[in-house]
Amino acid sequence: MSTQKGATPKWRYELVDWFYAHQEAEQSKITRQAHPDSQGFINFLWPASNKYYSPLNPVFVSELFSPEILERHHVWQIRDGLVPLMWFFKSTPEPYLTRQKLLIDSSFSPFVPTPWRKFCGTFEVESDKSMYKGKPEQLLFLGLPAEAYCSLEKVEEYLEKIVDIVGATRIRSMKKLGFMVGKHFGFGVQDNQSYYPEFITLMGDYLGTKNFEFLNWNTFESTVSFTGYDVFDFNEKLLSADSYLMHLVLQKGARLLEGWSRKSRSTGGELVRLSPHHLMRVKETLTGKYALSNPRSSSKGADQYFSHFESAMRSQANLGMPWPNWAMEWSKTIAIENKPVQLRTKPTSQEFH
Amino acid sequence: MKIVKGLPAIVVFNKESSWVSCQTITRNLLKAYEKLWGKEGFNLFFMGDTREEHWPLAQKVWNSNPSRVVFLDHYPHPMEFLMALNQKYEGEELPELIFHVYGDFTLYPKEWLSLQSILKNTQVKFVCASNKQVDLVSKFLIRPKTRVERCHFPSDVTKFHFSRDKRNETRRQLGLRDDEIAIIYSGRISLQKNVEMLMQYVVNLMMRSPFSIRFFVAGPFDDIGAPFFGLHFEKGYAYQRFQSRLKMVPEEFQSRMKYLGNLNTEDLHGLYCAGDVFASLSLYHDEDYGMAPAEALMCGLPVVLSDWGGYASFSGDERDCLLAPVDITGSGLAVSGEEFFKHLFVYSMIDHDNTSLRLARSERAAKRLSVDAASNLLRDMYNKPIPKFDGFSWRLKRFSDAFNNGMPFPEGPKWGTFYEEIYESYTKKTKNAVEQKKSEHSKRGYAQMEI
Repeated sequence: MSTQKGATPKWRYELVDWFYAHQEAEQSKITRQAHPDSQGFINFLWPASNKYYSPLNPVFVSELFSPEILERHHVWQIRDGLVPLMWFFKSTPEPYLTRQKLLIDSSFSPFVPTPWRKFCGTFEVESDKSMYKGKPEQLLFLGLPAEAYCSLEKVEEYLEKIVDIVGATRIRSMKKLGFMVGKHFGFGVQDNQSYYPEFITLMGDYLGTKNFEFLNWNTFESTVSFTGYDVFDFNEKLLSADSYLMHLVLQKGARLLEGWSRKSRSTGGELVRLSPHHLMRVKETLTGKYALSNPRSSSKGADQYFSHFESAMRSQANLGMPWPNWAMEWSKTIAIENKPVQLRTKPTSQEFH
Repeated sequence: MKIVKGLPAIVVFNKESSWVSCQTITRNLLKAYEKLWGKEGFNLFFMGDTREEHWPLAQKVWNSNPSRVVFLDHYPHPMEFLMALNQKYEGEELPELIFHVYGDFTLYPKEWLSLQSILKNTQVKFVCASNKQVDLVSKFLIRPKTRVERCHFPSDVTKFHFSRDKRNETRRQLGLRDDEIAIIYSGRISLQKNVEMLMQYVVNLMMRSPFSIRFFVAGPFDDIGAPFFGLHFEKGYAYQRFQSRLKMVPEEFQSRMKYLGNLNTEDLHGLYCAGDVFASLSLYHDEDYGMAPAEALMCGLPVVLSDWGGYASFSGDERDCLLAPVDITGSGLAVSGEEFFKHLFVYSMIDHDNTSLRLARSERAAKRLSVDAASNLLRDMYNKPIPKFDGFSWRLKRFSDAFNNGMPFPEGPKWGTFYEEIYESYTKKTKNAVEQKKSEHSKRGYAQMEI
């Protein structure tokens, strides 16, 4: 294309298009707008809830509040944790999808109710296998230190796992970085002000306090490379199963610390690359059955899922947030033909059947 | 480190810049000053990026009674520190202030404006890395002559030079045959770096060249978009976009293109030695110099570049650098693709495996771009008297106001807008453009105006 000036140009110029050639980037931003009533939930999870670009179209279910939006893609990667996901299934018991697939975190597969199972698949974040050479040398910890994001019991469980992978003596001398965005609600009893100091004390107990540096947001976001770091996110996956922070550091060369313990496992499915360093393992179908269908089941597996479900419902992730209201708002707008179920109180496991 | 009173003070950031190229630039500029004044010839001070750190630093610098204060880093902006230092001097004249400015000069219009009253009574010099950046910064100053000087960002000859062994080794690692021509792009992969367009021309070359062409890309993906025009991308977009463009390339050529990741200095050195031509079509609004082409030239690699911003500073010898003209048109930025392709074709035909040719180019580059060369330029600069600062021009105020919305150029990079007024210095003035402007000026009724 030649220039638009009047005189004959000496050379043929080619216009550089930065605006119209990138419609898909703009479209994705317009698509993912949180429902106004659940903005509080997205804000609580900031910056883990920040948006990022992926061909799997990552969203929180509260962002899929209109059928027009839902129609835009065949695949949606659902970023919600177990609690909002269960509320979603509770408020919309009958699937209203036609051809779309909702990808949920692979660990939530047993919790998808039977009517929804054929519309769901799973996703799992992985680091490129070729990155697992040598031993972990430097560690990077992420998280939103708050009871609702990761309970102290879970923090301790994760720390034991980390020490197990790296080694108790080695971990103390290793360089460690942390990026933690504290979430403090208020001064009520339920707000548990002692959480943050206890969280840090636990970190110190297991990892040592030396060679530890905490980053601020600017430094964290503008760091060009995290190559050489193994990353761990203190996330119980009750509120959110997919963190922007994790993708940011994986994209910049960090590798998943958990990958050391699961790298030998071959899990099948399709691999979708999100950066030169990390990918998503996507499975289009769910295996197994809905684990909460029979509350009287005595099988060992079912017990485990029931107790996980019950503890999720008793956690701060559920009790500390106004879920019934939020879920009702979604259901009002999401299900056009299916009447939403009226929610009276917080549900127990029995109420889901 | 012992502080010696009366010596010049050099101020650097107390952490490493998040921009890899800026880390290298600061390190190498410091080496140039060491060459100029000797390692003991200045006091080195480290500036933090919080307000609390500026006051104790101002005290330290004031105690050292410096003859001049030199700012080497692009970050943090010296505004807060200079306000603290000004208070220490209690109305007395501040020492000479020398600012090495980077492409992000235009990101801080408010900060520069707020320094106006302090700088006005002081001898001030702005040092830019290229002539076009000198032009751009001059637009923001009153009586800029002698107040804005050029000193390139030096390249380290010990890290970037031609090595036959390195070439052979890296070509083997990359699986390059002797008769294959390797085109190299290194640097950030982002919208304004125009890697997509570059890819198209390389594919064209693959189709038309009698040689087998391979294309290697190295660098981090950057989702910065074009914030000056209101284009913001989500994290992860640049990578997906690059992959999707790559998939659109016909398969036979796709296999000849390879992304190598974000390489460290040693691997980058290997890549430049192994390569045959370096190419970049960047139109980035911060392109005040170009460390990647500079380091490529140091390794004896010829470069084909867009004639934009600091890239123009590598031209002069057609054996080493060819530029493709760029223009700001009514529909946006435009590059002469024809010229770019022609240059790429010409350079790909030259025998780049010839050691003596490569060494000669490498030597020529070292003479112009090395630490020693920068040290010489600085010597000349400091030999000239440093005039007192007259203030910033109205353009900086206008730019600052436009910046308030976070989008100073909502119309995009177009001819006839404020963008053109600022960035026209980044483009080569072609005869055509000059004529066009003359006719436009005559329409507006001021035909006699100098272009």
